Amino acid sequence: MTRPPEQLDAVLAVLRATVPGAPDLAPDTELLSSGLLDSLGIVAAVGALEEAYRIEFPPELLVPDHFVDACALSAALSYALAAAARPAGPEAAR
Amino acid sequence: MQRLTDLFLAAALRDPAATALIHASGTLSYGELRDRARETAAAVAASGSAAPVALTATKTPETVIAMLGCLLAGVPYIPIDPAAPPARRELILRDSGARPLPAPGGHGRTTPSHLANVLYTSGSTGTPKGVLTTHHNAVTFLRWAQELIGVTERDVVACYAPLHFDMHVFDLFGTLSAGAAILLLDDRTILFPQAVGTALRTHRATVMYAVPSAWTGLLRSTVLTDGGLPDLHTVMYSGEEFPVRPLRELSRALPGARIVNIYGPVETNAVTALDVTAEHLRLDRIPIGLPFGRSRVFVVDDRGAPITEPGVEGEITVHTATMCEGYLGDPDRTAASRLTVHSDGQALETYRTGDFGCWDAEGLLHFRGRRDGRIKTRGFRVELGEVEARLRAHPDTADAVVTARPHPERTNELVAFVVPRRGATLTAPELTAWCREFLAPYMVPRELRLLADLPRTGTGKADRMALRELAATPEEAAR
Repeated sequence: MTRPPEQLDAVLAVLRATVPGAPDLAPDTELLSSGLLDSLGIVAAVGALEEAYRIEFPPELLVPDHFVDACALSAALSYALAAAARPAGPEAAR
Repeated sequence: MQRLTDLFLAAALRDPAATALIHASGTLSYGELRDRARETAAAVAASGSAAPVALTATKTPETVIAMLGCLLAGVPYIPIDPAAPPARRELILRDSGARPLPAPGGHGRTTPSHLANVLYTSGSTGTPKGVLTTHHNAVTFLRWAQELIGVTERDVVACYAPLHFDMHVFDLFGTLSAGAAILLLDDRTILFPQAVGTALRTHRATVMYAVPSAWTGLLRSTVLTDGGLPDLHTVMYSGEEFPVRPLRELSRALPGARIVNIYGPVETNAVTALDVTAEHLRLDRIPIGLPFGRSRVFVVDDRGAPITEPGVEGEITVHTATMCEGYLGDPDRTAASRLTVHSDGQALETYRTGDFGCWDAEGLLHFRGRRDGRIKTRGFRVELGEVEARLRAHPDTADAVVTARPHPERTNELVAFVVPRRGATLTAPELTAWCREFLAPYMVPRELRLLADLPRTGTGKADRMALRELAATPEEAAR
């Protein structure tokens, strides 16, 4: 189980790698209203997190509220991890 | 002269309490929208200038009010992409001589104008060009669209497209002319298919006109499997080719919904339309259909003579009342976009779409790619769309775009960008084998790259320019 501070760092690292020109992105940097994150950035960030944690984000989590900043995305990642830990779903990693 | 706002004013008079606009933080009635638009109109007119008004086209009620206000004042508006870089914005402002929107208050004379708006579109040269649309163009388009789609005051029309895109004419003015409600999907919502689907369901949207990627996005959400969208009765798409397999999926996910394919460049608005049937869905590529409204569509050969024989390709040109007046301040470009076609003893001025097409035996028009989507490699002519169609036909492919990369010996090399279906394991060698199975050797992409998604332009189309640049940078040490 990843501890939240580490998880937030992982999210920040992914965002810094996927958002061009935002190396100093902070946990509360606005991602959507600032235009930093576009549709391709969202797909890339989600893809990177899915790969790193070997999970799939349920589509219900892919909504604006979970992408306003890195903190919100880290919270969404926690939900995704919890959903993946529930029974039924074998870890479908490639 | 009939104005784009006439039917909106009539609808507001008929039922001022009816909902005109649903947005993120509430709704506006027809009466409220009219009154606020009139305030803006007074401010625009008070300045006494006939110069067009530039608007930052954020997806907000304020932009809709500002557009209506300009039109009521008889001044054309220029919607500018809110995400446009400052240099592009500057270029548009300089090129058009536009002014900012004046603050409300004050009265003055109106400055009548036959122009409704100027829509900036990227030219193949990379410099944006301003397309001049008159009230007559737009009103004619809406009349024909209304004959085809038949929006009623019971409808809720979802506005997906950005407001600087030509689809806004149907979404906003088409809806308001019919007395229906606009569901304004804001800039943030359209980034998330799940959020789009939820908004469509919550507000019981009945019609949406959007690019194919918007619809394929919905297929990736849970909305279509989890209860679906029972109120959505009309799916309209335009902007680029809809790959057949996801279109079949969409048709299955929305049983009973009418699917309409609309084709046409900004310069003419819609040129053709097709009600997509089960029979069309069995084909490899969906036809673009029949001439839209009372337009006359031609497929012409290199000498500009109409081709009527089925299956023979030529450039698509159109003679239509919706044809724009031309490009702002660029009479040469305007002249170059026109072609006189002789038909039935008449000389008709047509707009050259720059697209290739052909008629089939049933009289339907088929799209065969862009003039600039046709390249030569090793002396062979290759239609990039054909290679894309093969890649998209693979069961594990969600989407594909092929670009050409200049090569000193072979003229061009094909580079393919492929998005695998979610959860699928797809490899480049597998796709190459799939292409080899069906395509001539010179048509098999030299390089295949797998992407999580395609870069998109502000309007949601695949960003071919960005992909061409990406193709120019080696993915790894090539060869």
